[in-house]
Amino acid sequence: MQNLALERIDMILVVIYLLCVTGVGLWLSRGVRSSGDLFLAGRSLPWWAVGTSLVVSDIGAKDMVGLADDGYRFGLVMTNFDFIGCVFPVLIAAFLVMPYLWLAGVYTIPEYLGRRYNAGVRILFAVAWGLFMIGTLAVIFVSAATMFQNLLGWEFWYSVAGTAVLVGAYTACGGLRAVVFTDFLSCIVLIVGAAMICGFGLYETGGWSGLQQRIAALPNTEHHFDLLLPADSPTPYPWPAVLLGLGFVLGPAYWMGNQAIVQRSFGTRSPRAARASYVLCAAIKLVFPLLLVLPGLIGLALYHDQLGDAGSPDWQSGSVLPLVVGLLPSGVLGIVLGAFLAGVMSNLDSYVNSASTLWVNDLYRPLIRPEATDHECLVVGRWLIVIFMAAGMAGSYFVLQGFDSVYEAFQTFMSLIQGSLFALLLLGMLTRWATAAGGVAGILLGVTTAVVLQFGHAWNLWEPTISFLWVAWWSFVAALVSISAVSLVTRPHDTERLTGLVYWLPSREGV
Amino acid sequence: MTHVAAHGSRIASGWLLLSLEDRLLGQWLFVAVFVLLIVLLLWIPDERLGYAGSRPAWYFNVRVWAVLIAATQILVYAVWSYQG
Repeated sequence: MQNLALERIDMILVVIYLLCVTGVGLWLSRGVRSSGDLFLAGRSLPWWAVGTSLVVSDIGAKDMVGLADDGYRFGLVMTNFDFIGCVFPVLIAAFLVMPYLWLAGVYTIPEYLGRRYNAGVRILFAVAWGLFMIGTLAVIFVSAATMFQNLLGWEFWYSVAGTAVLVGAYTACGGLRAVVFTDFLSCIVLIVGAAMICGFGLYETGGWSGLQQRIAALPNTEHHFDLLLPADSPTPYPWPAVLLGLGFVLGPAYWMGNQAIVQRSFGTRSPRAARASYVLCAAIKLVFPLLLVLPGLIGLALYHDQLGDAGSPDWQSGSVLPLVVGLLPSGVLGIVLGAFLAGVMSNLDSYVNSASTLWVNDLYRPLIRPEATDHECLVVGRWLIVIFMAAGMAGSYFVLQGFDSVYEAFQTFMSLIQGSLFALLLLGMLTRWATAAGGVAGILLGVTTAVVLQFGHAWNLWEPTISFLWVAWWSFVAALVSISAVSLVTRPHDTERLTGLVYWLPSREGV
Repeated sequence: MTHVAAHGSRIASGWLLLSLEDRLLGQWLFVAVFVLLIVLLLWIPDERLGYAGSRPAWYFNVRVWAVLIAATQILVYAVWSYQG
């Protein structure tokens, strides 16, 4: 693939953007004096900034690259990740979950689970989430470096290291406040950049009808403009799997239980602000999916001869977006590259800040140094940001070797723990009878089910592979059944302990 | 017997229809999810949203915006679920 030659104007725009984001991030680090400032921005964040931050914490480089790839391969079905997989759970979370977690005064989801169930559940999830986040950081590094390599010819590992240093610096210094306000800038640049890719791409294809006609003439594309694929579709996305696995498990678990997502709403000024931030996120998400999937369809219409059939075995992950970006004229290319950088940085800063928050609050403080001062936690939190960055860089090597696409890698990591996490959250928040022993049983059986279903194919237990959406669904069912069964024969916590932690037992403060 | 057979035949043809047009069932279920979401949003009492005694103007009311967003999703799945 021929690399793009950046004009001077493109480079100027990219440098201005990088200086703005890093400058804002470092400037905001002045107010960070405690671990509460680093992890929750002193609970002073405005809802509009958190709402946009939620969007770009979810959508980053991995989504821009991955959804363009999968839009090319599978079509509009990929928009379900933002519709049934996002808008639906985000609205549920806004009204039923986030205000209550905010009032519970927790820093992390494992902390909530620890108070609702017991310390064992808290530790198990903190460890699992830490590992998941290292995997996610690795996925983000790979998607970013692949894009830089394909677009600009930059060496893969230099791109990884450069990104890590830049984002690590302002995240370690500025904490959640820097993350959220730089995300606000990133969200604007991301929307403008993605819209430009779609606009110039559609112009080349002759508009929407031209796009449809070109794709209809290609083989294996009869469902590329459908949101729902048949139940017997050979893709990972038949509609029952999308509804049950994505809509009822992965989506809700991600938007209610993913620390990198929920942490910014814990940093808002009030439960009402937390709710408003989630509703704003859902509104923005109505337009985002098309902006991310459309480049894949444009790539299919324009570059099918070059990239080949979507199902071909020599499919090259990360190859669609660079070609589509190549359609852009000078100046505009700089803005789009800025958007891509925005996606990389907002994703990385969110995950690394949250991973650090998790391990300081759920492992270091309760297990290793209960007597740690707040200043010590602040310092440890900053060092953990550096360590997680390094672990993510190391992990990117394995992601590069082991997965066909970055989006597949991310979803696979998610499907391993999300089912049991959501079962625990659901029963924990909605019932009084779920017990601590039930919670531990739920994690163990849910994660075991997910691992067996996910890797059974590799262990020659069955053919063919099982869609990660079904993995998530069945691990959720396994966790739900085991929590319920064990809770039947064990004693629940008393009402006083559960007040403020269960929806039906609100604290006196209200929401 | 004839009645039972005819009834059974209708059921069988119903299942056949579903298996042939399974995405129609999917479309209805996706739409139903968002309809139920709207019902839930409207069911939550004001005091649970912190509006007890002082309901804000509609444009500051997050419940109104949430219902509009869910209604947009109903439109999306009703129109674009699949072609023909």
